[in-house]
Amino acid sequence: MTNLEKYNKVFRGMFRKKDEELPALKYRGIPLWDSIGHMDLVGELEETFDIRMDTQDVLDFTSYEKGQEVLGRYGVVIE
Amino acid sequence: MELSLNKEEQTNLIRLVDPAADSNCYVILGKKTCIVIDPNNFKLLEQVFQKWDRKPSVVLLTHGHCDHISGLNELRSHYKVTVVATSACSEEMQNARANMSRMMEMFLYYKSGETKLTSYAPFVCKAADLHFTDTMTLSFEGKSIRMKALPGHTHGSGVICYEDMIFCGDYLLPNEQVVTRLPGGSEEEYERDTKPWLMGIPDGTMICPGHGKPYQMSEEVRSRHDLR
Repeated sequence: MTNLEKYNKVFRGMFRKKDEELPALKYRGIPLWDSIGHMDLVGELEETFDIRMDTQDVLDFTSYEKGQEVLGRYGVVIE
Repeated sequence: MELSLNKEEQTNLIRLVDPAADSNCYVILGKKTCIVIDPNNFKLLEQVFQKWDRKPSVVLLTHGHCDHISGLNELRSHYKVTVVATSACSEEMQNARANMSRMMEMFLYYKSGETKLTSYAPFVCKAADLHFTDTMTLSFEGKSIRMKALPGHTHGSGVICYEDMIFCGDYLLPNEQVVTRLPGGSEEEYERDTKPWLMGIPDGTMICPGHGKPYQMSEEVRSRHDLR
């Protein structure tokens, strides 16, 4: 499974969306991606990619697109 | 620090509030020892042990979230205590994601209205010394303590019944509906297993919540928590 597939799988599982709906997702843009959903998302991504994000990066993670950039800071290339 | 005295039973109950997350820890004073429920701040507990000259013998946990166990490691390093919890709680406390300490910095940030970042180091605890899947009954100075597993807030959540009091962790919080979306939580488990049990708590029972002041069960409380 590629990193993109893993990344999308986490988002689909968390927010019950299809692949084509993911690029539009933003923090607080849907009810499930609230502060609790965000902590859960980050926890799941950390386990999936075996990384630990700094708090500032967790705060920077404001959208599906931005999250890929944040993960890149930890050597996780989403492609 | 708050001291309540149940005059009929001569039971001393002390409530400690950890300022980090405003969580409650309760201490039941016996003749020479005491029971600690949800040890969240060892420094505050140490003051109680010294002031009332009691040593802790047993630690009971309502669930494994970090704001209820953040004083446990230090307590265990200073005193020989037996820690009792549900089997699932015992698992929760050994994992920084499940016990929420990994995300507590974020949780506190959100709780502050996204205005204040407070440092919070992730941690884990060793497993409980005694654990159970459904119920466990203990004896403390001739009085019975009954623990009951009630999943929902977390899979390992439970309540502790002692005399006319119920220590209910993060259920029945005075100003908050139960949260089932935090790590380990399940709305389905809460509705199926826990809600029916909470509905059966008689009026007048002293509810000792994990946050906020103790209060008595009443019809108004049932209504507020949709326990009908």
